[in-house]
Amino acid sequence: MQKNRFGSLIITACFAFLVLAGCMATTKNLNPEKETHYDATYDFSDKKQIVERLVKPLIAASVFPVQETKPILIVYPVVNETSEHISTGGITDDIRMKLIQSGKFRFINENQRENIERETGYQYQGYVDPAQRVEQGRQLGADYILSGTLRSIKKEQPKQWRLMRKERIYYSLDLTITDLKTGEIVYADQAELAREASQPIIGW
Amino acid sequence: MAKHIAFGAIFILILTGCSSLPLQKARDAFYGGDLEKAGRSLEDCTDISKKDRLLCYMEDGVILHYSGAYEKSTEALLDASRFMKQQEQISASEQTSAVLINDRVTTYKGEYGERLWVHTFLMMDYLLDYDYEDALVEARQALEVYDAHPGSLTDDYFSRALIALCFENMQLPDDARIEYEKLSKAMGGGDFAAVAIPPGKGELVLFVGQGRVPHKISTDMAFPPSIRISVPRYTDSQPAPPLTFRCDDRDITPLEVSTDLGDVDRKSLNDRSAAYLTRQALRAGAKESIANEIGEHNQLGEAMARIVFFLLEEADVRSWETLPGHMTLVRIELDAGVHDLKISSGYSNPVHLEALDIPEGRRVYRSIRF
Repeated sequence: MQKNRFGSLIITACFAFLVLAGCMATTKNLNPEKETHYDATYDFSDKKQIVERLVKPLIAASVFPVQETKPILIVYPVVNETSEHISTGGITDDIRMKLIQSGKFRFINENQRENIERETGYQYQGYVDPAQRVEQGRQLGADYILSGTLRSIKKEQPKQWRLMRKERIYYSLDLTITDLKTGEIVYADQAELAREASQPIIGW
Repeated sequence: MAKHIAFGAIFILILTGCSSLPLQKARDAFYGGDLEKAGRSLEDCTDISKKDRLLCYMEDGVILHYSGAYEKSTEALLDASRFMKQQEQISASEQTSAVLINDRVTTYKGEYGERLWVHTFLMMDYLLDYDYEDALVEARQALEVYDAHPGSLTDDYFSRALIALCFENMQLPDDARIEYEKLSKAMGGGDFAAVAIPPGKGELVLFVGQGRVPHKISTDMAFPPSIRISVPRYTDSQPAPPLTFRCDDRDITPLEVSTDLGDVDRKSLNDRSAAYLTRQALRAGAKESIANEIGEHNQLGEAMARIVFFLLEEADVRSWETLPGHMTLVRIELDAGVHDLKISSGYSNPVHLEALDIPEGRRVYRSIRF
């Protein structure tokens, strides 16, 4: 009798523990270097992979004419033509960062143009010491435009009797560099990703 | 046993009724013209039962859209879109409850047409904010819904025309052409094509909503000894009065593409009728065997159980009720400059768009509701 009561107490305790453990909120750090995907859609691991795939050949490429100064690039946003709301600014920021770190390119900060204008305008309103004012008309002019398009093709398994729903997604990012003077595309490359994910059709 | 069943039934009936109270308040306030009160009623959809949460996001999205809060409307509708994706999996527990109680206990996933209109309203919200890239993302998601339910959604011309416009805005003429061809085929003719804005001109694009979308009601049938079948159906659509346009004191006849949302809703419901009729049959069988089982031990219990089961049988009449009955896409090419436009629809008060600035080579968007 005593044994039975003890047994049921343990079972109840185990059950309560499992229920509580299931309800507990958890937080943990993830390694951004490690590839992790919950489903077939675009995530941070993809961004990393795409950027690395595109940047390495670009740094090694010898498309720019040999000149004393480094080529000056301006980055235009990557156009998102996928069916997901993807912040493509993250891709261009990463590409720019890696190219700057390579020491082979110079970049114009297109995002800060309005702020630069506001700040220099303020300096010429009479508040700033004339000796310390930024000289106007000395900004760099870009030699090349770096632009791109992110596309996706999504295919779902046709409707039929099945227990799992499969989905395939193909992503491609086309990167181009255009010579501002001639309008010629002097460099083009593409990074591709393809993934299949499945999830059960019936859940609890 | 019978007492337990009765208490359980009353409890379920109260619960299913309570969860939709804020929704009803919001709808009443919206149609009463108090958009602020309507929006306040649905401030936090996570407070609403999960079963009706999608409706909360949908109603909130439309209320905010017609309040002119396009960014907030986008947030609510993106929540709706995410929620729909999460509910793609069939829940075994919910389906079991539905077989024993009624379809009202399941999480509302939206009719096929409603799933499309989440993306349609998102497209409109993004276009009204001149965010063409995100509008295109929604256009592509809308195409996925069209592809998933082609039979139910072919009559939604408005969404198709809007998708084509999103492609036009992103300089994707081939994709726009394909959508215009599909539109022309669905409408049984019509000359639709992507046209560039001529020099010296601009374009006004109007999203005109008219009337109120039909809502669902139940049709009940009773069979001996105590079987009740309750199926949902949509009320009839009200015809929309023709729209008339007067620009700078002269009548104009712009291009219009219109959808009767009630027609699309009815087709959507018909297309999944096999699923809910199968569940009805299963439920009737399950209830009958439980009642017979109880009757073998207690006749009074059986009578009580039959009454309770009869009362519990209730059609799922949930639907997105703040939608307009008709949606019309109107495209008006105008000389660049400032214009006054008057839009009339039947006996409703006309809408004046005064001092409307149309820049050269640009599209300007407005959403109005009669």
